[in-house]
Amino acid sequence: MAKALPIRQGFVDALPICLGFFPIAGLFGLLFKQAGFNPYLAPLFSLLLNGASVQFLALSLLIGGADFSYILLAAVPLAIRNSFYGLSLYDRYQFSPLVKSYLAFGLIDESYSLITIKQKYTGKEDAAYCLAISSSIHISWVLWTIVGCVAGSFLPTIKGLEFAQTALFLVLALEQYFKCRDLRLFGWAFVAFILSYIFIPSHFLVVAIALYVLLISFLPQKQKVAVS
Amino acid sequence: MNQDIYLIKVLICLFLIVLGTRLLPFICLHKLKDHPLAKKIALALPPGVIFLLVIYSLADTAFLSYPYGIPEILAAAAIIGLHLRFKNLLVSLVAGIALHQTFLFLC
Repeated sequence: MAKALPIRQGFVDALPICLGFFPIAGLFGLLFKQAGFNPYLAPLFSLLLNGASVQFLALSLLIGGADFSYILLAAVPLAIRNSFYGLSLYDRYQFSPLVKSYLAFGLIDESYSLITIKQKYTGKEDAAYCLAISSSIHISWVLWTIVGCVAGSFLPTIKGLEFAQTALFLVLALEQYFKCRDLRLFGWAFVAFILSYIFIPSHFLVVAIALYVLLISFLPQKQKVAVS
Repeated sequence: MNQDIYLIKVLICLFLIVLGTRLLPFICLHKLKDHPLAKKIALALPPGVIFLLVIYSLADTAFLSYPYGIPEILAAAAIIGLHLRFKNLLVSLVAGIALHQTFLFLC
């Protein structure tokens, strides 16, 4: 069976995420502009940081007038969770250093979830496919930020746009479930969440991820786990 | 102008942090990659992480005061139902966000 061109397929598969970024990136651009900062810098933030959590954190701290070093320090726990993502894709991302570097940079929550589910190609085709996904997600993230900045002048703030992030993650989580078919993993993640939230609520996300890694290390492997 | 320069300084430092953390596994894992645990963790990581991200994104919702997170819970339930039924990323996403805005408006 002939497979579709990997680059084209990458754009197609990433499309829902690219569209789903509209409320989130738009909100960032909007808030950035309404905070009184130079709107030309907002898309630059999106271009160089490529990630909602770090960007929103930085923005709220900048608005609040936090210390320079505090902003950097606060960003580290948020950024470090992306280091875990490389664990899953290390083998697959065995490409040239330039390609590998950009793919690593593009490894944000959404692209991580999408790429780990879709394993249709190998070798150079896989590189093209992952590049198409990562770059379209990155570019749309920047473009929607620009839209948010521009629209900031015209639109009143719409409440509750943050839910778009939840909606996106929820849909991606369901897709992950369809692939792994193992509810126990979600169970262990929930346990990790409870424990981390009780003990270190201020940074529960990165602690929960670390805890989750520990928990699954000690679990017997489920026999049916698909290996591509 | 001063503020712009300050923002750019913050941005560049954040960029280095972000880039460093994302490149880290690809630089460091060279020795560890053949460890038997590595494969198990690599496969099991995505579902757990994304699940935690769902919870993380709801962390700021005020569940203890009106409207008690009801729009979020209802919209999330709708998304789950829609996605299990139609398995369409775009439909579930758009409908979920629209429903959430509706519930928010109704509350």
